[in-house]
Amino acid sequence: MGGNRNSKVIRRIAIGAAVIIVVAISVAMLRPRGPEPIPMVPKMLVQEPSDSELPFQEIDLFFFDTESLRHVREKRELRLSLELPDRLKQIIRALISGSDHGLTSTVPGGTFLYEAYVDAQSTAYLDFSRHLAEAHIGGTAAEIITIKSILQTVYVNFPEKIQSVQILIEGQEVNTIAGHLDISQPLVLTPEFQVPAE
Amino acid sequence: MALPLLICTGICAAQTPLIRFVDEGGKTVDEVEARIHSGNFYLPIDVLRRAFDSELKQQYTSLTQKLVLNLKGKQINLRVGNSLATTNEDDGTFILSHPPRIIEGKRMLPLDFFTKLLPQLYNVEVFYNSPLQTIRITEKSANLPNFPPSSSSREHEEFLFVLDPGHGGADSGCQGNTGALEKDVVLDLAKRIRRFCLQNDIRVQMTREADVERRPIERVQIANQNQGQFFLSLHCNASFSSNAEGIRIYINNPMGELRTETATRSANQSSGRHAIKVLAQDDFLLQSREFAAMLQEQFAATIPSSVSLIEMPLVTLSDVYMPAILIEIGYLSNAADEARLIDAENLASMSMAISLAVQRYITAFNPERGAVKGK
Repeated sequence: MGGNRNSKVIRRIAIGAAVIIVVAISVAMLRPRGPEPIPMVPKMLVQEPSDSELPFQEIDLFFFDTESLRHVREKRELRLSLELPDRLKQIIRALISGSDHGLTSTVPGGTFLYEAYVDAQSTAYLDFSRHLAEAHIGGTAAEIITIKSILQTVYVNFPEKIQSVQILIEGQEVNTIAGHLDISQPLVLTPEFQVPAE
Repeated sequence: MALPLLICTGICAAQTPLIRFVDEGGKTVDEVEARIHSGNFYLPIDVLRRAFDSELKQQYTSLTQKLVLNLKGKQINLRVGNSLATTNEDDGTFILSHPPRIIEGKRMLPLDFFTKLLPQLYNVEVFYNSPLQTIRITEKSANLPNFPPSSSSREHEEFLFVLDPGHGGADSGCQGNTGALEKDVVLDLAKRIRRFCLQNDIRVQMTREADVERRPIERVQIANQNQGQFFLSLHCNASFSSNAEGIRIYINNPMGELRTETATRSANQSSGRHAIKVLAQDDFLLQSREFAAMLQEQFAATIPSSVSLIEMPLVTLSDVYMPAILIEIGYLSNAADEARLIDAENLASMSMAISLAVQRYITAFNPERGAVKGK
């Protein structure tokens, strides 16, 4: 009798535990998922390629100075690839990774540059993740600051090799990143982007 | 004499709107499916055969992507993926807002080929009605001026001012430190401006009157379909620096501080005998600048903020076929500006300044209307 009662109790406990586990798993699976985490740019991707044979080269990145309200040049050294699209990709990824000297990054956090291409007409295509638009702070001024930062960085590092830049998001042409500036067409790199050397 | 056919685009599925051809009385004559690409309407070329020229001939070379249309005695040269359009006559070079494309194997033309290019090349007027999704093609009356369309058949009608409060719905725009949302601030201001304008007999069409989302193309359609005579888009600014402040007036100019490739290429070609026309906003650049200058003066007289003027390629303004500007009424990222933007008294002053500028503009560019009431 007593052993029978014990086994019933044990069975009930086991069934109860099983129910709790099933419910817990179901709740966990049904729970609404939070916003998809914004991936950060892995530092290793900024430095590619890792070929130590390649010499370090100085590049110019343009960040925003919140005091002077102007773009400011920041120099950095990278082992740059020999291929133009790869060099472009390295440099824009370095721009996205942010300033080493406390300047303000103009590209929203979490933005990733998937790929860079340059066509026969010297138009560069920069394919960013959706965060460039979705995580942007908005406002025409901020939108212009972001685009100018990218254009100026391309112009100064690739003089005469790249004539214009088409921004893509998730591989698609887009009309705008924050609702104001028209980026549906390639934007032309003009000498105005050449800033005097500090 | 009216052409026998009209084009009417019916409201249908989101990505494949049904295009109806109707006669002048609104009766459906034919139907065809359009496509939406990057938010823009595209119609199949065959539409032209049924709606405009039954003898249309088209020739497409896939290697060069060159597309030649023989339409009502003119040869129109296009290229898939390229916004430039030329003819075999001395009509000049035109830039479509969006290039012809091949979509699902069909050669498609952007909507503005119909609404803007046809009236420039032929003796026709094209009326586009966005809510009904209709396009009506009629022959121009001989006594009407050919250009610009804003002073055509509706020159005797009341001036219509289109007010576009930016963002809305899930798209809040930028946000201030105290929580002020751009979409709410600009809607509040727009309603104040409308009230002032209506009191002075100025008709106003708003692109939204509540907290609802509007895509850029919808704003453009509301403005164009109602044949507005001035488009003013209201926004709040934001910067990466909390120091940035003041009012910015933006004018759409693809050759402005930033330049689009198409506009630059066209400008470089303009030294030849062909005049270059950027369809839509290029026709109205001077009027937009005039209004901006009037607005600067009004702001200087009433608002204690710096006001600067900037020309850029702007996404919403580029497709409205009327003079247009975008005002960033202050920075929500700046504490002092944000305080001003949620202050009723400041908004009242701002709405008055804008309304007075509109009155001055009407008087300057619509002499037949004369001074408006309250002037």
